[in-house]
Formats: sequence, structure tokens, C-alpha cells
Amino acid sequence: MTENITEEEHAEMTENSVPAEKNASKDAEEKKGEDSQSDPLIQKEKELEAVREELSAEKDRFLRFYAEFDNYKKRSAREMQDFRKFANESLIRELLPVIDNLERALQSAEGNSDAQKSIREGVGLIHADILRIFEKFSVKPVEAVGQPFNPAFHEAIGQEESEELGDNIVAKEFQRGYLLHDRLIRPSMVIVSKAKAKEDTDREANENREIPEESDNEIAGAQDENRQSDTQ
Amino acid sequence: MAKIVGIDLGTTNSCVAVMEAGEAKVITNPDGGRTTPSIVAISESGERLVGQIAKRQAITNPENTVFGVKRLIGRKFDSKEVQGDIKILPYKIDKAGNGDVRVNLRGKQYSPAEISSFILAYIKKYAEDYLGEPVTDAVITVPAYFNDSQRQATKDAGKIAGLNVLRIINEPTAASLAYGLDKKKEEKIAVFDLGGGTFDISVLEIGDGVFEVKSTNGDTHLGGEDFDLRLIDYLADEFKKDQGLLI
Repeated sequence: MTENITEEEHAEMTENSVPAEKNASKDAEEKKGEDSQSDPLIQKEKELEAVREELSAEKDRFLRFYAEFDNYKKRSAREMQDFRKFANESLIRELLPVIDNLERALQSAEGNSDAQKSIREGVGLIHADILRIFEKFSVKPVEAVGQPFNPAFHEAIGQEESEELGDNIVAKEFQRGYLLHDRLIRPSMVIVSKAKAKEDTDREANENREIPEESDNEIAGAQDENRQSDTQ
Repeated sequence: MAKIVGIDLGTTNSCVAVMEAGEAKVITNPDGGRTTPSIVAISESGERLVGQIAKRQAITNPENTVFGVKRLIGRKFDSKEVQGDIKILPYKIDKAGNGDVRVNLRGKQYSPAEISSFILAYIKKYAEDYLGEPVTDAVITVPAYFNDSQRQATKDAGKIAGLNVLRIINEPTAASLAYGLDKKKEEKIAVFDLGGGTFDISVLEIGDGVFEVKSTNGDTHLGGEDFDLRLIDYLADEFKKDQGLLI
């Protein structure tokens, strides 16, 4: 892999090639003094050889630098893309509690009086407006209640026994979670259901599981290797 | 050019950085976090979870969620420290044939070094995603008070994770390097390290680029998480006083 060549190696390569080239030309000069009339052709050939060597070293160096540069270009392009994609993240994150509060306002205005109804309607419109704007910027609420608990999106803050839900289902949501593109910017804070008489199923699961022993050997192996390298 | 990463394998959180243009740059994890919880869990389906995702499910799966494994690494099962921690840790800890500690997750035994290797492997993976090239070489920090066996076990963890651990360095030494203290004149300094679960202080003597840890002490069960808990308790109490509701 060309992109994994270290700078030291670069330096070494060029250092090696440059003195070799210098020596070659020095040799050539000495020879010139000794038997100058003998063969200017051989001398030129030697010079040419040295130049060729230098050229191939430079070519190599160029290719390696180019590969490195290409890697860098790719990385910074990706960084730029990510930066654009998630530039709004901190702003959105700060706005989430505002949405939470609108939701709380909606909940506390439950009732059938005209005043309550009109508050609900008004706040509901604002709430929907904000969510629509969020959606335009690829912000989506995380689905939670009734879904299987998934720690990739949900943060469990408690458990609750439930016969109807069974095990590992989101029973309640305390705070809604949000995704920006595919990145979770806030997990849902949830209560997870737990089936009654859980212990029995747990024991069964454990019994069905094999206990491979390779892990211990692996470590012993690693330790042995280490000891060897230490003594060396 | 293959990069060497520096990893702070912490009790509560871990962090990875790489030198970029002469400065240490922290690599963010896939969640965008600069630190990753040092937590490993095995889900009911047998899937291995590491980091934030393991933390989020901890309460639903306490017996199979390992945190603070750094408290166990390289220690003997019968040691005072391990026996003390067993009482407060919710996961199962067994004694290995050679007297070492084994963590029991869903019936399978793991050495603390293996658990640490899962954290390192996760970190290695996201560092590779960031750098766009394989990461093989790493420097890992350990507390100044770690003995040979704890250092060796940390090195093993790196090896299991597929990392060539070039050097194990002391955390206070790494901190003073980060502040460029090696370039100043000969002096004696104190390094405070307030972590998530531990609080250390070390006195170092620096001169000619040599760091000597003169002394180290601290509280192995005091950190930022304890502050968080106190704040939560305080707020809950105040709320109860105000509203008469228990939360």
C-alpha cells in the first residue's frame, strides 16, 4: 500500500540515492583525470546511469507524495461533507428542549373548556410547524413507545413489569429522541418493559449457551508473546 | 503514512487522539462524542455492545454490562481491591484457575484484558474510519500507580484488539507532555487528574525530557459521576420539597 509509507522511508530513499549519484559523478571525474583520452562514452554512460537513478527515486517520491496527498484530499472532502451535514447539530440540539416544552404545554392543556381547546389548537400548529422545518433539515423524531427497546436509539432510564408487553418493549417515553440524518443527536429516554417471571427464561437462555474456551488460550498466547518480546 | 494513535483507556471513559500537523487531535466517535464510555455489554441476542450504546441499555441488562473493568485489570481475585469492588459491581466476577479475575457474561468468562480489548477494538475501528487507513500502532496510558502485572494486562488488551502497543505511559506523564512541560527547565510539578470515576494526584520531577513520578495518590472511587449523582439527588430533593412529588 503506497499510502502507508512513512516519511522516514522517503527520506532514506532520497538520501541513499543522492549520495550514490554524487559518488558516481565523483568517480567519473577521477577516472577522467586518469584516463581521460580512454573513453568519454563510458563516462557519459555513467553519468546517464546516475541521472536515471536519481530520476527513478524522484519519480517514486512523487508517487508516494501524490498518494499521501490523495488520501488527504479524500479525508478533507469527507470532513467538509460531514461538516456541512452536521453544521446545524448544535443549534438543533439547543432547540429540542423548546419542542419538549411545547409538547408539555399541549399535555397540560388537556380538557374540554373553550380556552383549553384553543390553546391546544394554537400550540399544536406551532409544534407542527417546527417539526416540519426540522424535517426539511433532515431531523426526525425517534419512534419509541411500543417498539422493541433498541439502545442504538433509546436510553433506558427504568424498567417496568408488564404482562401485556412482555420483555424489552418501550413502555413509556419521558423525552423524545431525535435523529439528524442518520446520526442520533438525542436518544429517547424510556422505560422498558420486563416480563414477569423473568428469571426462568434467563436461566434457560444461559443453559442453551455454549461456553467456548478459546478466549483464555488467546490471552495466554498474547502473554507468552509479550514475555518473549520483553526478554529480547 | 501509518499514524500512531494515543489512547486514554479510562475507568469510566476512553479517548483516542492522533497527531495532526504537530498537535494532538481527538477523534470523535460515531455518535460525535470525544470520549467513549468504557462499557461493554452482551445483549440478550448475544451481540456485543461497546460505548454509548452499552451505557444506554445498562439498566435493562445490569448483569451483562461491564463498566469500570480497569479496577480489575491485572489484579488477583483475592486482592483487597477486587474483593471490595465485587460488592458494588452488578456483574458476576469469578476466580480464574491462576487466581486472576474473570468476568462472567451470559455464562461465558472473559478476562479483564479481553473486556478492555473490546473497548480498544471499538476505538481502533472508529479511528480507522476517521483516518481512512488501518491503525496498527498505539500508545496507551495507565495510572502511575499501576504495577507490572496491570501494565502487562493493559498491553495484552491492546494485542488482543489487534494493536501493536509501542509504549505504555503514565497518565500524569502524558498530561505533562500535552502541556509541553518537557521543554521547560528542570522542575517539580503536580498533576491532578479528575476522571469520571477516579481522582488522582501525582508529583513528577521533570528534567532533560525524563519524567520521574515521585509520588502518587488519590481516591479510586471519586469522580465526575459522583458529582453528577449528588446534583441529581439534590435536585430531586428540592423538587420533592417544592412539589411534594417523588421523582
